[in-house]
Amino acid sequence: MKTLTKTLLFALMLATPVVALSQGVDRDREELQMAAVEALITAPPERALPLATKVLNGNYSYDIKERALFILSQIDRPEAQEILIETARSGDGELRGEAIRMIGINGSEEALALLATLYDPADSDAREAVLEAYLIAGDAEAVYRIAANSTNNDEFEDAMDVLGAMGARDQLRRLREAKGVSEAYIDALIISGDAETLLEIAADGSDEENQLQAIEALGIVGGHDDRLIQIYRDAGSEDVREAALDGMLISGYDDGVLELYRSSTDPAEKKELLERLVIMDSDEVWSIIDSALDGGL
Amino acid sequence: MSRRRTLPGIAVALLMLAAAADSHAALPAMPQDGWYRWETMAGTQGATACCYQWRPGSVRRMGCRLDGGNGPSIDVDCDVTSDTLQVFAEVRDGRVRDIRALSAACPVETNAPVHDLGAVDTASSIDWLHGLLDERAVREDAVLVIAMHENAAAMRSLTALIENRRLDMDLREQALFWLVQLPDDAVYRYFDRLLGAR
Repeated sequence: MKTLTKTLLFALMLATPVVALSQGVDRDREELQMAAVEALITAPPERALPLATKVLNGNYSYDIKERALFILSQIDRPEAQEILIETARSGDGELRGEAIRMIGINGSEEALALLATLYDPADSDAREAVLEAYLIAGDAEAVYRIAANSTNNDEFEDAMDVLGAMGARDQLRRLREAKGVSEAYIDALIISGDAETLLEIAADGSDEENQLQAIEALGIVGGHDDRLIQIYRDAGSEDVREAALDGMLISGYDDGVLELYRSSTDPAEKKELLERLVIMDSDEVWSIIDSALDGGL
Repeated sequence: MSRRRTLPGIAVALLMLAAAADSHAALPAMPQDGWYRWETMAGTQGATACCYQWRPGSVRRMGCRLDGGNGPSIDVDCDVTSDTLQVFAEVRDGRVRDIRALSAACPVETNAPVHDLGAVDTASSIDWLHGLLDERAVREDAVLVIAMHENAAAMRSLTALIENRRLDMDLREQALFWLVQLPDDAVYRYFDRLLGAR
């Protein structure tokens, strides 16, 4: 028994380096194959196409197949586009998403037209991949159509994020008429930097929640500090005044808060404005405090 | 009797032939500081290597300055072409500091006269470049220069680099990058084999 144990241990000791060596060889082979596929980017299309296709259809890791897919997406030949489209239609999960995105990078007109048929509101992976493909391809109208026809919040919000990132102000303005204003819509306006529309919403008291969000958003977008002061002064409610102050805080407009502080005659309001100036780390805070201690509040 | 005299002669001749086929004259030493130059057979990637100046609508041949000048470009459709490659190595304090290869048809200027080593056979030139693969500062340039040698020899050398697991993967990837640009069916058979070995 003892001898058997020793023999087994000895066999195990012998086998361990062999297993490690074999794993090292596999890793080396994998890295080399990855580099070989990447190198195909400089090969003539007629050379790269069969090799990339072979990898895509073969027994390779996801990483290698993803690189082969990228090579195919860069080959300006109908055969390569067909493979890309086929993978976008029926490839395995992650690879399918990659194929859809790559159509956005370098897809033919035919492939780009196919994206609409690949969009599935119920499949979040496909939905995101198609939206990213449109983002990459710069097709704001296609994203607008998705947003306008959306049937649930997730779908609408995803499309809003993309329109915002695309800076698609025209499409966003049309969506205000089609779908109304919402938190996701205002976020998209912020990302797109559309202060003009935000000012319109900020002046519209028909939905106070949207109005307050738009006022704060003006501080994020920046460049409209004077309007925030005006909104504060014209405010019909405490919430609107608070939102305007938040906007000034976000934009770092301590000069405006200081101006309000100096022009205010209401001690409670002055106290709140001073608190804001402290939060904003305004340079003027200490002179105001000195003045207050001297009885000048 | 005559037969006995002939056999040793044939044996000596065969040995000489084998030696000639098997070995090649190593590049001479480069003891002094400065640029050294030798000529060898150019491959596709070396035949047109020169420094060019691009202007709207045209490419103008320019020639290269080795001392702080512009880098070479290859695969440009213009009239600089030669079957001969000129290889330049800059030595300072006993070490190779820079290595370039250009088409022999490309005019080259240097600040100081170049030490001319004359014609060198492909294998000797490539062997010498292999000796630089441990020199971090010049090894990537060495791989490029190898790729500019005569196509078949360049391919043998690059595939040997790719298969050499002792070398950094970065350097082996460089070799793959230059190899795939050789216009030779054998290159794609090699890639096919490399990608098929699973």
